[in-house]
Amino acid sequence: MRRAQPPGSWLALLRRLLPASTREEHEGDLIELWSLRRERGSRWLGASFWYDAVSLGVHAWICAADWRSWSASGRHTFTGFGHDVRLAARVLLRRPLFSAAAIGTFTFGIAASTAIFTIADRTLVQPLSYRDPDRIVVLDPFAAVIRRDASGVAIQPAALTASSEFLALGFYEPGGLDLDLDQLGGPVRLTAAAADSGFFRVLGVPPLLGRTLAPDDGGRRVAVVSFDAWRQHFGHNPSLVGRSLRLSGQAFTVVGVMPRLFAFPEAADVWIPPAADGRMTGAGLRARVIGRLADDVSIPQAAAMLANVKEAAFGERQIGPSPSMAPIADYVAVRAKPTILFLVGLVSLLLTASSASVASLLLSRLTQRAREMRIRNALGAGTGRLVRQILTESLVIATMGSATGTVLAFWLVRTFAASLPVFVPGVELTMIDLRVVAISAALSVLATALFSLAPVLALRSTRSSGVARFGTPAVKRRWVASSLLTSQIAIALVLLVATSTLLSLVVRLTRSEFGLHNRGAVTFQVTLPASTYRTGAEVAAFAGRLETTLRSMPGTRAIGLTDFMPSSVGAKSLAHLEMRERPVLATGAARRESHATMLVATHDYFRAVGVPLLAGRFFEPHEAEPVVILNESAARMFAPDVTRVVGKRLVSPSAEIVGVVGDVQLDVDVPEAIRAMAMAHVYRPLSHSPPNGTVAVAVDMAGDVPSVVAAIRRGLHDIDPSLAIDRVSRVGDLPARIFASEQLTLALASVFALVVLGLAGIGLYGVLAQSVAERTREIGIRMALGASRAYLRAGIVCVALRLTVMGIVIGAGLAVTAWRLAWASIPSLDVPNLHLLAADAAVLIAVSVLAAWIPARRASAIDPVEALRAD
Amino acid sequence: MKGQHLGEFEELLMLAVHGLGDDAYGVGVQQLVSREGRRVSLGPVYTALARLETKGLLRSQSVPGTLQRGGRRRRVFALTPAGVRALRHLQHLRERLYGRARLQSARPH
Repeated sequence: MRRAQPPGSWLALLRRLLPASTREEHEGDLIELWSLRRERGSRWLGASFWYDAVSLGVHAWICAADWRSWSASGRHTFTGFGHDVRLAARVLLRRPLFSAAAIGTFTFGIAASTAIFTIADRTLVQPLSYRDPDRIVVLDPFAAVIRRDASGVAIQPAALTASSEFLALGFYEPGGLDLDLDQLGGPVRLTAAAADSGFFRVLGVPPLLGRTLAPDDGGRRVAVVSFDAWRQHFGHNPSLVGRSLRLSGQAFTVVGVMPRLFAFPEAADVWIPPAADGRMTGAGLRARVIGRLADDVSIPQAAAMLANVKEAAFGERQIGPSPSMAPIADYVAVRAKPTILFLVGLVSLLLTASSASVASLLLSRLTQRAREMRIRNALGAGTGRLVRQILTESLVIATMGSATGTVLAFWLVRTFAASLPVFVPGVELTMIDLRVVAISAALSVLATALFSLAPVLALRSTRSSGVARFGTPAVKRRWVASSLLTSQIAIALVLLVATSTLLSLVVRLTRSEFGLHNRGAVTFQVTLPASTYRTGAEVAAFAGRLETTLRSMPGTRAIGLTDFMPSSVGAKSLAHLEMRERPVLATGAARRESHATMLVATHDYFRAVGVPLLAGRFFEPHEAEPVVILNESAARMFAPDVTRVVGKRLVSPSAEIVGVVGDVQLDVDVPEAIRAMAMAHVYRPLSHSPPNGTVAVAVDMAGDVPSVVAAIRRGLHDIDPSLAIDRVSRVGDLPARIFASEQLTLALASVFALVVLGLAGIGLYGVLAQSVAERTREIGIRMALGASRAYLRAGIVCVALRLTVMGIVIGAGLAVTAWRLAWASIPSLDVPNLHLLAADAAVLIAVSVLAAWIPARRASAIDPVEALRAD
Repeated sequence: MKGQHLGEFEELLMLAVHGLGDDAYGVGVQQLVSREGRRVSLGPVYTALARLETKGLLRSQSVPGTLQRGGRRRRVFALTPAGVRALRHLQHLRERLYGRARLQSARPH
């Protein structure tokens, strides 16, 4: 009869856990205990089994040496791994300063890399945990549009939805819509993303609770809640589905809750059908279309199909860039991605540099321990045995360093979690993730292998010359030490160049004003609930009243309204521009049609925020005829000389161009390819095309920001007490706010660069000091033969300079390569110029001279008589 | 000599080994001690048994296993003469001390 046994997989795992010598006996014990418990009907069979297994495993490994002595007839052998570890620990304890330096260096490297990798993992990798993310594409704004008419919301051209290239198509509104969730204790602002049922089909993530949006949800007030919102605002309430919530005065029914990792678009707290909120009206929704490609369809194939479909649908009228699409990965964390990739690159360099630094520390220790090694060799330890000892010591350092480094990394991530919305909103970083711990452990093993290699190489090299001569400086060991040092200097240079390039980028960005030159003006935004402000006329009337009220306040110099916040998140509607006649004759550069972003503005807006007038005029307070103002980028698409477009007529939209104004930077979060197209703007008078739901206001008023804001609140309260203002900012503060992530990156890069510079300096000092100590006799002889002290000093400094210059040459090559790689993901990165490179090289040379000075002085202070007598 | 002193837990294990006779192996000892009122898991039992063996108070041998343990071999422990002496010494010491303690605690009544 065969008795019941624990599952075979458990036993297989157990076999790996237990040492071979006592495996069978312990396995039997665990099986027996398991069946005893089973007969008694114990509830925690699995848990008890593994508890016992771990308890036995720990015991068995600790006693491994003793157990082995059982089988080896009681004779103690000195070959156990435990013995190596104990010896390594003793060696490290005997040199606390050395150990602290090695473990500390390693800790810093692991902590910094684990922290940055955690951020990269949470922001770039995890959001892509959809089914087959590489099959999901985002169509560009020209490939497909969303039309809204009496019959509902639909993707145009309609033939697209029937095509076999896409398994599913859907759309979402990337900008999001601020809705106030009414609940006890005051309203909470949620970001809603409009999406259709196809959106969820394309992404293919099943809901955690309830369902996603259905095709017939069209105009219903239903909502799908994100995991974070469910947790924060509804306390994990499992019966939330089916309940009603009030969003900005409208009742929505919750139909589903999404799982934790579903965060697309990033900031979305709830997803609602596009017609559910009255504010999303107007001819074109500013939505992005996404699709899931069929299995055997490539992106170019789908794009070609799209071009055919568009031509069939629009025929001759179809002009403009040919449609394209990009994998969804390009749209995830668009703004943070280059920054994070940049940091990942820097931190990898930092890890390499700290590994090199630990390697040189170990190498110099090896020299000091030459005597010990010689004795052990004489007593019968083979080279393999000594190599194993060195590897074990490295492993102990790596293990301790990565343990403390991991703890430090979690502390860092926790501490800086508050500043992480700077990178990506809505990313939770305070959780411990086993995968990242695994990555950090793997890194530590890799680093161990890397930095043990140098001492092992050096040790091997002594074999040829005989271990007896181990104490004399082997040429090969010096070569290993120099190359380690050179690599550190090269990495330091790359980090310095990266930091200074970033510095110049940040300075340039924060000094730029997005084209808004009136730094003292205050901008804010007002969201108008659709229930009160139903039509465009009502919105226009509100805008007019707000303008009049604020203008009448004392100290107001100018006030303007528009429908966008500078640098605001979200795609605007793109319009097709067509000019009636060619403004410039027969030159290749001039075009008749183009695409531009449609915006609105009141007559005084440009004055209020300080956008300069380049040609023509601003709007009048009451424009009777359809008129538009182009920005410089839009005007340049028609004529190189922007004054020539004033007075010309556009066919689409049908209007006269009355003026040209300076550029304002709008979207900083779109992929670089679209950004160029999004730079061209066409303004219409606000009264002709009232915005939907949200108006942005700019006020140029005397007084400091709090008093201006107080005055604005009073004015708004007089018009409609239910309204509130948000996103208040001084125009001059906008760049600093928007480029906060770049500034944080700069701070991190500076810290990394300083650490690596410090490590390189200390390493240089260590190598030179040791070489001086080894060459005491040689220096003494040279002095006795008449070498001057200055000459000897110069000799030592020259050694340092030679290493440094070598490092600089290699580092410059690396920096150029690294810059090319970085440039592929951040095209706005400045070209590293020669001045910066020279300045960074000068810093390195200064540090190396400083590091060489003390050993050089020590060498020149050697008394030749003493040096020779001592030998 | 420090090495010959018996800890309280070691004493319990020695007694269990002696009481179990031919059946004194890891699980048996652990089950007996647990049944008699001291909850203990297998790891510490083996650690202590190994220590006692190093002290020369126990000896062990590997014997073929039963069906209940999937036919795996088991290690059976037995007291060495030194172990029996140590246990007996401890018992006498205990009895004398307990006897005194009982006399003294009886006096106030």
